[in-house]
Amino acid sequence: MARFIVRRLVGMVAVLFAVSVIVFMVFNVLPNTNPAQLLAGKNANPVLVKSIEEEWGFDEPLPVQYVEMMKKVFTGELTSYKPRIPVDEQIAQGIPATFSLTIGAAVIWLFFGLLLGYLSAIRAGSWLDKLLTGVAVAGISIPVFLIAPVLLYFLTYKNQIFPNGQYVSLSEDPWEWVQHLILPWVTLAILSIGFYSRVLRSNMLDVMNEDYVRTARAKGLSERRVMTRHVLRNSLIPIVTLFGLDFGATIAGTAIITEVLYSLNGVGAYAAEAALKFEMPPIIGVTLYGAFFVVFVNAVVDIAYAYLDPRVRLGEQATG
Amino acid sequence: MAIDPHSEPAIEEGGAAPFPPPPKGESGRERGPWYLAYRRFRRNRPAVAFLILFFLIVVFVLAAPLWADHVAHTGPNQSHTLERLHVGSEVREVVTPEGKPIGPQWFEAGGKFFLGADSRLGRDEMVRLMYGGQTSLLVGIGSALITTFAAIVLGLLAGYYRGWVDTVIARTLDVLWSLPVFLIALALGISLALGGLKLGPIELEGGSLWIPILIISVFTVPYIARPIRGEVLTLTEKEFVEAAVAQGAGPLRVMFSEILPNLASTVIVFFTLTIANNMLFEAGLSFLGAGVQPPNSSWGTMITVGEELLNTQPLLAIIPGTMILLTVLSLNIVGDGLRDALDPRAKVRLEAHAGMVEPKGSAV
Repeated sequence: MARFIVRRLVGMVAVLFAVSVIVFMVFNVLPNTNPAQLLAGKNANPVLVKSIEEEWGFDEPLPVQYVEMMKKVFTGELTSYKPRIPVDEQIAQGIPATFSLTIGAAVIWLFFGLLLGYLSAIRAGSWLDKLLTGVAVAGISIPVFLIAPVLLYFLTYKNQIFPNGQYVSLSEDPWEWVQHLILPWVTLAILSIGFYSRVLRSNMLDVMNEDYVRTARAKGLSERRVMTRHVLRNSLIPIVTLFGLDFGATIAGTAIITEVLYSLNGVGAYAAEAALKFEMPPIIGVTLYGAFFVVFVNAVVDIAYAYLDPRVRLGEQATG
Repeated sequence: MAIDPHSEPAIEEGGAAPFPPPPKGESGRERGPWYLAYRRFRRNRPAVAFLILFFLIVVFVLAAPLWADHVAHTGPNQSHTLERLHVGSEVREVVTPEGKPIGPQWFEAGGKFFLGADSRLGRDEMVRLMYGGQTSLLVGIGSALITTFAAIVLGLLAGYYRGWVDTVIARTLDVLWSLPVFLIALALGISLALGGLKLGPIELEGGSLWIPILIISVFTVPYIARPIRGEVLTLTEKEFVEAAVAQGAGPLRVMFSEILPNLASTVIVFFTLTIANNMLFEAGLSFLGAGVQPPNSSWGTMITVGEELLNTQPLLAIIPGTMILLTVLSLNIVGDGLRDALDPRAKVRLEAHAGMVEPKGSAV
């Protein structure tokens, strides 16, 4: 077990190193642009461009620039170009909104996803199952940028039931916090509700086929007990892994769009705004801290998984 | 080919015999697996209906030039801000002095501004919707083709050669997998849109459609390459591969004529689902300004434009969003249907549940 953990952690560091190199390349090698030129504006004179180049070190060789960047990341000295605001401060400011959004949405999607998946698996083949399967496919196909405008138009503009986005902190006013977040939560959760219910349904149908389920029935357990204690419980293991992967990916993906749609000033909206202004340091900061989070959660999930299922730590499946 | 589906016993109902003898055609010859899959697919009514819907959407977007030339008499990027429409005796401004674009006219103005104007620029929303659909579908299908091709090659190489080749490929895929993909794609999309791409022989302009296509392709490869690699790993253990090697077939021959055909059903299903996934990816990037660049429209960029007028002209954001929903939904349902049709083993696996009535399930 200790060997597995060490291997997993070494893998984690290697992945983070690769991420930092890739992000650095994305900005410094691939684009056919000079960042100093972009900062100086379209019609800047060469002297200004030169001075910006020297100030930010754009004229240094790439490996030196990379090392400088990483130093700043670890010391928390990464600042955005203009205005010069420390990146870690900005990220810290955005974290409450981002976490409120994603954790709340995750609670909703886990509850409804698992409920719908369970109902449709125990009634497999019935009209209810067909209906829920249809709902699930529709759910995974609805883009957040359709749900948000529809909800905003009908529930905010036409009938003033919910406030229009913005984030109110939980400590300031819990009731306002909930009201402002309900629409974003629903928007973000719908896609995953469909996905999780499909995964749980197919997992449960697989597990129902196992010998121990037949044994449980044979020893006279009630159908309900067989389903909850034996089938559901064992079907949840892959869901835990999926959730670990998914939660991080949602923060760095769909949550960004949701934050922008509802003007929640979270980390995602900050990154999207920075990307539009070609501000490299915030993107690097958000991507690296985000990647750290994703990779760390994945490692924890893998380790938990290996602890629960010895086959994983002994066999080939231990990737990363 | 017209065979009444009821004239032969349906395969799904043979719960007791998971592998019924293959049905015979009129000549008594055994039907091939593709024909069986086709028949299974045809019996899946929702899948057929949504396949038809998908074709209708394709026809709709391909008809863009016809509609633009003969009905709307305008181009997708042509501005009509200061113009007026004559509807009967009434005169309507395309964009009011306050900047509010005209709403849907349907056929009142002879098909002009069928869905209204898009913004204070006064461009024809319907024309933009059709051309934007071309862009969205092109990016979705184009990137799915590249993704699938790359994934097949990587999966075959990794699964066939194993050893260090596999280690390098599998680790690279792992790294890609654990990246905050959307964020990096966003940053990459913006930086490339500004300055274009210059990488060895490849040189692309900032506004080129190839940029979103390539970005999306690269980041979605692991989602297909990993399952394909897994399948190749199992297939290389099979006797037919051994037989081919014993006959003196080289690695290329084994990979492409022995293993690849066995991947066909996986590849087809993944390809369909990847188009859907990549269209959502494109819409997300375009929505944030990192995908298709203005003045060109795609359904994603149209939502960005429409979002600003949500209060007064909600349809401008809702219609392109609905088009994305319909396209993605039809591809998802067709993909599920294809999986059920092409992979009868999964079907049997699902059907074999004690006493269950024919769950029409899809293994996610």
